[in-house]
Amino acid sequence: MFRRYANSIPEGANQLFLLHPLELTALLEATWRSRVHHPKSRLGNPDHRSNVSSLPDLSLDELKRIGIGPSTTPTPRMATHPAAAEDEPPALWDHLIYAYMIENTRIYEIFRRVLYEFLHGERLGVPTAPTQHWLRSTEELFFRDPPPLSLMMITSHVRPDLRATRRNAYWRMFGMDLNHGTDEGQPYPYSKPDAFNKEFVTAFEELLREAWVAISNRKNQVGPDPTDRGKITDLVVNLQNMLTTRRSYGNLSREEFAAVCTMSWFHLTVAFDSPVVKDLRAEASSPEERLFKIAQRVGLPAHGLSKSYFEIADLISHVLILVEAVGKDMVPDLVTKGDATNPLQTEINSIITHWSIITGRDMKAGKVVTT
Amino acid sequence: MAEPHGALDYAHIKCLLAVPTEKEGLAEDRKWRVPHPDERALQDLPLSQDEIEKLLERANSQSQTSQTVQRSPKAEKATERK
Repeated sequence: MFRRYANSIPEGANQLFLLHPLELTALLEATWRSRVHHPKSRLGNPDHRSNVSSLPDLSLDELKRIGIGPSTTPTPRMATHPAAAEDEPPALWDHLIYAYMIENTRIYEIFRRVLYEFLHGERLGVPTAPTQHWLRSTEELFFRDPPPLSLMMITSHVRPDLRATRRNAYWRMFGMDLNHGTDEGQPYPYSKPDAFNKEFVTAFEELLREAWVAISNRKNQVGPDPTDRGKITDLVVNLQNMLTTRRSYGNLSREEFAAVCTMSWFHLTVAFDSPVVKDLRAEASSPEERLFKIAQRVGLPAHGLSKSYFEIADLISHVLILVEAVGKDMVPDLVTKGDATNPLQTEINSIITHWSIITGRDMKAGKVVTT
Repeated sequence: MAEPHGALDYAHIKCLLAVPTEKEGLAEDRKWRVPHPDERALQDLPLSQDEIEKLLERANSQSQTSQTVQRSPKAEKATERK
């Protein structure tokens, strides 16, 4: 979400980094309040993620007075939560898979070390004034308990470890753990419940393979067409059922929101030569190169395939939200014929490329069946 | 039977999840209102602009009243002599 609040890079982002942590928290609360909200849709679906309320207006009014909130420029109206102001456009946050992909770069752990070094000594130099703002907000928002009653408050005596809470959500939704454990190389301890989407990876990879067959045959007018529309429909419905089952009655929505917002803050930090990036002398031309340089400075390596994780995060988020929102209604777009790929096919194509790089399993190769 | 869904389709999802890049900012209708640090510093003043103007007006009127009261008959005569 923080990338969206920035509006522009670098001006908007630099401005965002100067805000008070309470103002940043208010932005998150305002986002939740103006979320897309169709009460008739099943609770937990993308257009009806949750019925949990944000902070009451009493607390937000003063912050709204100083100009915090979504744009008031007219936009195509969609139903938003009744608590949202009339002039607030609908807000939607990324799918949990976005947070999973970004966290896999190890960005959270690397910036944890950056904070440690800056807050304990001068090994990395003395942070400049803009970086001091960034440090304060980062520490306040993501490395301590959030303000009481805040939406971001997903830690308690029952689940004290924020990182374990995120891993638990990833496990339940995708049946996947992050690719790194503790800093000491040990498996990260967290609760792995019995109810999780064990078949997510298998079904998703099968969908990517079938989608690739459809995309690569989109110009095929004469020969036999191996596109299996029925199988694609079946896989999409299967994925939709899996994901929405985990979200029954709005379950995991707050955890998703908190995880996505956290990762988007760090993603924005390396999306350009931000003040902290400059202070760390990690200027570069891409997010992964900046992260690699920062990682080197703090002595904790980033994932070598960070480029693919950054590239795939937004795209796979769009597609999984679409799967949840419309299910099999997305299939016609997926298998459509023509010379050029449509926007959905283009995104799926990029996902296929980066997923293949990340997993080492080629989604463009036919499935090998052992007998 | 398929679950009825709301207004979210692929175009909407992409529009709502659009992010700025170094090359291109967000469209006007997707921008968030975020206070500018300088404007916020002004907002930190204990009084609003309206309140300041009211106070100034009141101060001016009090000042005029005060001047009227202070002009004693002796001073008036001195003015007349001039």
